Amino acid sequence: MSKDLRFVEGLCTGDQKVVEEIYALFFPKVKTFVMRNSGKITDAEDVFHDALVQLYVRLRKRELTITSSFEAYLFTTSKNLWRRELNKKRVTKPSLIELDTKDRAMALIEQEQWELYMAKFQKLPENCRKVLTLFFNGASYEEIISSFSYTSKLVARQRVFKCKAKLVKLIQEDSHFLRLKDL
Amino acid sequence: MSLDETTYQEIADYLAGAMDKDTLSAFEDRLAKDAKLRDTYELFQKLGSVYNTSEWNMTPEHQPAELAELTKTFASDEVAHLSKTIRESAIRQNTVGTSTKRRWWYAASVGVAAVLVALFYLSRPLSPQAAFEKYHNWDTLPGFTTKSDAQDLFLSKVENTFRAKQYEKALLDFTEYQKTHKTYNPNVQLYIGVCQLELSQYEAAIKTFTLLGEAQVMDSHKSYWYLAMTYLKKGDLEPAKDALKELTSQKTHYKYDEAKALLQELK
Repeated sequence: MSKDLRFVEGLCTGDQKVVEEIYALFFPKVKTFVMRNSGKITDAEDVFHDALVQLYVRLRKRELTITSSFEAYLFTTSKNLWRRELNKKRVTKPSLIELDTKDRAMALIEQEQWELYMAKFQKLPENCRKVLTLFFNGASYEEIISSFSYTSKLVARQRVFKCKAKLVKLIQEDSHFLRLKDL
Repeated sequence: MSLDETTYQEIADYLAGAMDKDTLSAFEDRLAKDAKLRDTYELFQKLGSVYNTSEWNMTPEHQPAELAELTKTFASDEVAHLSKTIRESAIRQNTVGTSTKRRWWYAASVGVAAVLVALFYLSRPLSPQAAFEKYHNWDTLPGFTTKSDAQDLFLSKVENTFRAKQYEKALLDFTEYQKTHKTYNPNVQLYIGVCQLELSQYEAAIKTFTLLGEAQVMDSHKSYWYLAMTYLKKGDLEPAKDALKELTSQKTHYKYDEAKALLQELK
């Protein structure tokens, strides 16, 4: 049995030994991320806990199939949960962050939608992915022009727009997105 | 669900502010009436905050029944049981971690002591520049948050510029930030000083770190470490030693152990 499969099965059955192994192997990276982004060790523990619980619910109830590694999946989920918390500015509260069950459910739905957006982004042609990565992370049109040797700002603007339009179409045409919209 | 090319172009023009008054008004009318167009427009607008690496802006529409079902699952006994298992693992890790850490620290202390003794008896003193190369580590500088407000995002971006070693640009941006914000930000000052140090603007760096030490907004002794690094890179051994001696005057001072070891190596 592969390690990842053992982690998945161990988590699904709540196997204490496996959960401890997961903790020992993967918590340090999450701790480093949270603490480098305004969090305390207790925040990191809560985020890691919630990520494991979310993963458990998705594996058991939402037919989740892990396509990357277990570690990558767990880290991304933890990272997103912390970004979500930072966005809500809960970090200013002195007490620990404990999501209530409804908020945990919301976080799961948000994570699923985020994954859909990421998957669609990966379906774009490479050039579009590069342009949009720069654009979405705050690069100016001048920087995009120099990175891709476009002839003018207008050309760069059109390129960004066409890539965004492709992305919007890919997202809108996805059946899961439609389901989320229609639910 | 997707719209035709012309409509996409219209959305782009609208977002870019490239519509004349009449077209704009007609488009806004359609936007108010046409739900599909509005959805697409909102998705266009949302993309930026979904795909940048520092924000979180997912607001999926969901069916109340689906949310209620999931909420029930999260509140179930099986999840509570798993939750307990995870918490217990955390406690066990900490316990194991502490005893392992203690053993590690003991071994490390013995190791460090052995290295120090060896250095003391065997090695020649380090040159100031070699000491700088050996001891400077900007990874320990405090990171800026990645909250969604513009100020934090800006600082976070400038920090990335700094981490990419684009010190000239980072210095410009941090200085500009400090100029436009009345509140004295010690962490920004710290980065400004380190940028100046990396750009060999030694007098400016010394001034920044000295003021930082006097500002009484951070542990003033912390600035001695950066002063020492500046003098070492500059090649001024004695003032570097003076700054390090300030640090070693109290065990609670920032980088007390490293300052002590560094002083030994400089003798």
